[in-house]
Parts: sequence; C-alpha cells; structure tokens
Amino acid sequence: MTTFPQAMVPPFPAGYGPLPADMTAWVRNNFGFITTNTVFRAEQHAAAGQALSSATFDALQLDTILEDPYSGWAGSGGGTAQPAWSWLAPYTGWYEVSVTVPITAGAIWLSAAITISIGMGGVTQWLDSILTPSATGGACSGAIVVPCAGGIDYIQAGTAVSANATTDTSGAARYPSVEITYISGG
Amino acid sequence: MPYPFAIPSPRTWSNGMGVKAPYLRTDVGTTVAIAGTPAMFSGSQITTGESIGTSTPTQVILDTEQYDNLGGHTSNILPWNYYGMFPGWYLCISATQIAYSGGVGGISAGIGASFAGGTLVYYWGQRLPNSATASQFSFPVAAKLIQMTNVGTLGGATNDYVCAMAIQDTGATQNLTSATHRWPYLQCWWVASPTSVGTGGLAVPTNDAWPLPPSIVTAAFLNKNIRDTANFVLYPPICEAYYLAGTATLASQSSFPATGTTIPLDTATVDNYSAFSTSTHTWTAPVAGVYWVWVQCALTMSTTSLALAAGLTVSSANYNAGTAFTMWGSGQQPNAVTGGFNAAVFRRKLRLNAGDTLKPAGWQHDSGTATATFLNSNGNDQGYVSRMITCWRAA
Repeated sequence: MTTFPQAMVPPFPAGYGPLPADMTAWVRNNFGFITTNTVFRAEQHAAAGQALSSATFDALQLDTILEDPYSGWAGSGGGTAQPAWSWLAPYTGWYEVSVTVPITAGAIWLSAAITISIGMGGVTQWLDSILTPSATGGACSGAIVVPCAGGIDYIQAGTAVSANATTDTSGAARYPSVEITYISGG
Repeated sequence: MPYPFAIPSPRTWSNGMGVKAPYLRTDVGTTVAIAGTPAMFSGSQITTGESIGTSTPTQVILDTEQYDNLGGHTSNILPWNYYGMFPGWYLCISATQIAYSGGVGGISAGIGASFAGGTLVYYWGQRLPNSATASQFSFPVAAKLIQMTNVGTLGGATNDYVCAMAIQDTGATQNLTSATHRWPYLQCWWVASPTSVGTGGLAVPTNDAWPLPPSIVTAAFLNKNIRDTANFVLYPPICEAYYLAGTATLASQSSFPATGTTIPLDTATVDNYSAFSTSTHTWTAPVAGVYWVWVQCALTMSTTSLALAAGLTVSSANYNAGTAFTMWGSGQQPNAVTGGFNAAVFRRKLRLNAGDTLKPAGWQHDSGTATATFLNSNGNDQGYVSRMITCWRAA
C-alpha cells in the first residue's frame, strides 16, 4: 500500500504557476493520506494463547500482523525506539485504538487497556471492564482516542485480569485483536 | 487557515475552465482542513466523583478536556455537553464507571443528545452487572452516530449537543470513579457531512498521479481527482440500523455457534450508500476499505441467565478463508433478574471488499434453556436497543 506524507492544508498561492510536482504534493498526497489513513491491524493466533498474569497489565503479543504500512510494529524483540509488543505512531496526531480480548477462563474480572508512552506519561488507561461468564470464556472490547507524537510515542494494547488466565485463540471467531486508525493531526 | 465554516461543494470542471487558486483553496484546501483535522472532542471526569442517583439517567460531568479544536465544551458551564460547532455526523464513544463493588444491580454507559433545543434523549450501550469483589468495578462502553446540524454557538439554547450518560440501579446513590486512568469519558469526532448536503454513491478515490508533460490536465481528471475525491472523503459510507420491533427471541445455546443468530435489525437511522437491507438484516459493503463496526445486542433475560454476547457474522475472503462465520465480542455475565435488561457489544475495524456482508449476531446461555427477547425499551431508537454501526475509515 502506498503511504503518504501527513496531510497539511495546501497553500495554492495566487499568481504562481505550479509544476506537476506541486500539484502532486498539494492534491494527490493530501487526499491520498486522508483516504488511505494510517491503519494498523493485528491479531493473535498462537495455538497456546498467551498467559495473562493476575492484576497486572499484559500487552497483547500479536503474532499475525494484518496490515502495518508504516512499519510501526515491534514484536517480541522490541525496537530501537520502543518496547516489545508495541506500535510506534508514524505521525503526530490523534489515533483511535480498539482492542478485543477473549479469554478461556470463566468467572473472573477482565479489562481491556492500553499503555501509551510520553504523550500520556507512560501510563495505562483502562477501558471496557467486565465479569466473564462462569461456564464460557468471556471477552472485553474497548476503544479510546489518544494523542501521540510521531516517531516518539508508542501504543501497547492489552488487558488485565483478576486471576491468571489465557487468551482464547481457538479460531477466527475469537482471535484477540488490535486496530489503530489515525483521526486527526490535532 | 481558519477552520472552515461550511462544507464545500466541489465544483464540476469543464474543458477550458481556468484552474484558479481560489477554486483549489475551496475545493481541496477546505476539504483537507475538514477531513484532515475533523471537529473532535475528548473529555473525561477526573476530579469530580459525580453522584449518580439509583435508576436515574445522569449526564456525566466532563471536568477535564484533552482535545476540543472548535471550542464546543467548557468545563465550568454546562460541563456535561459537547456542543456541535461544525455540521455533520459524529461518531461518539463513551465509557463510565461507578466506585461500587457491592454486587447489586448493574451499570450502563450511554450517549445523550439534544437537537434544536429539544429534550435530552439517551441511547444506552453496554449494560453490565456490578461486581461483588472489592476494587473490581464494571466499566461499560457505548457508541452512537449522531448528526448535529444546529451548530456554532457554545451553550446555545437551540444548538445541538451530545453528552456521556450513566445509569445504575444499586438501590442507592453511587459516585463515578475518579481513580487514576479509570475515568469516565466522552469522545466524538466528525466523520461525514450532513445527509442533506453529502454526495453518496461514489467510488473510492484512486488518487491518480498528476499528469506530466506532454500529457495535459483534463476536466475529466480534475472531476475524478478533485471533485469526486473531495465529495467521497466528505461523505464516506456510514450506516446505523437498529431493532425496533422488540419481539424476536433468542434461544439459549451452551457455547458459541459457528454462525450466530442474526439480530433482526429492521430500521435504518442513516445509510448513505444504501448498504443495509431491513428485510435480510444484512449490510453489504458498498466499496472496499477498512470499516469501523459496532454491534450491540440488547436482551431481556431471566433469573436463570448465565451469559450473553454480541457478534458479527462476516462473509469476506479476508477472514476465515472466505467461509462465513461469526466473530464474537464481549462475552459477559448478565443482569440475571426477571425481565432484566442486558446489552453486550462487539467492536472491530475490518478490511472488507465491495460486496462482503456483515450481519449483527447475538448469543445467550441460560441454565434452564429459557429464551431471551431482543429488547427495545422505548419503542424507538433510544433507550436499550440492538444496533449496528458501520463507518468507512480508510481505503
């Protein structure tokens, strides 16, 4: 997928004879950025699921990257500017992060959450929190719009549980997932 | 460039027409300003610890703003409300939490709105039972598409506004949490022009490379890459449908089926690309792209209820090797009382091809195999209803 520079309102100076490169920058690139967005989508498929520890934030160990055109994802090894299991924002702006976490355990408290560096002070924001059913593994699904400095701030999406549990990766119907889309340059 | 006051109407180009700077500033510059930095609000309740009376729908005070680019909110006057300052459809999400773990009753998150000075109406989202374990607080979420067209005056008596709502039925007054990073919040952002001015039925822009000499720029090129592109990004496919009848039932199942029971959504609130069928309760992707999708399954359940979930039946080559199946969202404990209101939610962003289909799905498990009823509490799109929202987000 083609990536574009972040959209900026173009000048179109009167009396200036634009070159094709000017029009590419002012029209094509701006509309291109707006229509293609900065999309990150990923799921967790590992057969054994991920062990979740009680009362602590666990970043989802996403192993199936569906799309990451700006190459922001760092897996198990982390990256030079970010920890493991995080996505580095390519541009400064506001991003909507959604996370869905199904688990196999029943009758526990389950919460979706995200952790953001710097822009939110490196803290964890809690999202949808539920009590899972007794006989069936439950799932939570939360979302929030957060600010990120491009190339600096990263996002980890994950969960916390009240008792040790395991993510449910039994099939496409239940894969843990994270999606991030850009909303605004702010 | 100051923020635009109105949605532009991109012109139709004709051969011989001058490509003038004012034309481009209006059609391209204004569109980039609106779509690239849409009207948006993010606010939370961080310090107040607001009191919520039992069984009382309550607007959530937003004492802290994170973002408000058009100045539609103030924290010290009418602090519940975000007033529309630019016309269009807004995608609104909220979450709320009370500092209560006494195990009685439930809590719901919702979105409230007032139009042209009318009575506040509210649309409930997820409903969760309260936990009985100390420091474990249920934190439900809500989402809604809201069209605001009476805009531009902060606090105006006839200005449209939205707000976050909370309701709990513990039997006593409770306080919203102000615990660190468990804050109730409202976030909303512009996603499309008002229905009255938008142009639907367009193809996804291809953003063609600008012609190089000796090729010339033609009217057809400009109409495709400026007029139609601007019209598309200003009015992309959005849809919201809900279940009005409130009579259909949902049988109990002990585990998640491969294909869930379709929630018979029968009424569309908005469907600018005519993608939803109220007879088959199926949404068909009008164009390819990444779609924001929300399903809520609202049920009346019983004392023997054990669980409920919302899901989405997807038929797309991008998922499950093309075999139709149901993705399941929040699987939760119910508010297990006779006639108890419950609502579970599903939320994903999915990449779909034109022609792919989505159907909202519900599931419930009852120890006595009792059926549940798909709920409509108000006889309209307000209160507790099952609902599906789709919103195109990217090519």
